Amino acid sequence: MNKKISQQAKMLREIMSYHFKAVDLTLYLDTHPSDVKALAEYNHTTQILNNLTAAYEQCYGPLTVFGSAMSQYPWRWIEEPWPWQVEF
Amino acid sequence: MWLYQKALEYPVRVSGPNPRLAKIVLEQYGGSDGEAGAANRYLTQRYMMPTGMAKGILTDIGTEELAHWEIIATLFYKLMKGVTPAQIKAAGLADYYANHGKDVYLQNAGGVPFTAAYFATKGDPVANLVEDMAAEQKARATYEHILNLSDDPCVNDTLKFLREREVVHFQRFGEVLDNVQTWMNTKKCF
Amino acid sequence: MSSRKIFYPVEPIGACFPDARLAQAWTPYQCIGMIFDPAVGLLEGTIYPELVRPYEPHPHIPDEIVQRRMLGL
Repeated sequence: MNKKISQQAKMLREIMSYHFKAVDLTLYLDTHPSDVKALAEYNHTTQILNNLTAAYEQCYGPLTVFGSAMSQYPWRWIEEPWPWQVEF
Repeated sequence: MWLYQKALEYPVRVSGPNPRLAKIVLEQYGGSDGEAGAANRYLTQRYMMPTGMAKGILTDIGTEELAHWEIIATLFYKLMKGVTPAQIKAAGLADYYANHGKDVYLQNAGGVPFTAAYFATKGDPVANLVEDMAAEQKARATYEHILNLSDDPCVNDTLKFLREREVVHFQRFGEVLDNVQTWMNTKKCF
Repeated sequence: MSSRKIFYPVEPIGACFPDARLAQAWTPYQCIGMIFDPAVGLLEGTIYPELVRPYEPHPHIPDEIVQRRMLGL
């Protein structure tokens, strides 16, 4: 079960784990808006996520469009694999 | 406005093709207590919620349910990958395949198409939130049933992740219910 | 598969329904403690140890299924 995964899948997996932490913190902050520790943790996670995302997008194109990330030429958003095709 | 991120919420893996299991997981794609029902329920209930906290949680959990909806479709896609019509017929999916091929369709495991009748918007914040809590418990129970039917440990990792998310969402809806009830108990309603 | 840690939920501290009334449902508020590292959180399904609820099969499930569960299948 330990087949080699691509470099893209490895980078994506790290982004997914920090993104998930941000999601769980978001839900917690929605019901605990005054929690100082959680907010600091969320902001710190967001910073790391921004850096990881920028590094990924340099190699593999934008992770989001509609104006939230830029793309190299030619338009990289439509490149494969799409998320359901990635082998982990 | 929704923004799509070109990455799944969870790294979905399958051990190999498994059309029998693919049909079963559709229960959480287009079923009565599945992710599409949950996403639509929360995203339509959010408009009339009386507090910012309720609007925020319903928007965010609804958005996360869309991500889970994508994960179920990914499971189906991977479990059907490379499967021949003969294997599909042997697994009892001939009727599905005749209509949809290997496309994923919004139906439950029994073939019943999805409907808005699966969820309510009751015009009452407490009724809506308690329905949401019930929905999370039903979704958790459904994942447990599917885990009992599954013979693929890789698929089980994904199912356990999705089941744990239901537990967390239940806690959040409970906290929002506290908030809304406090608001309603202290507000003078005419 | 991987060794599963057992988490013993800590009783919630914090607001205990100061505004509670009869005929209403109230949920204890979670108070954040330690959180998992991102990679661990993703595998557990949450970054909060106190919310981890591993699946235990229903007691009426047939023995062969329980055995498969225990073998991590």
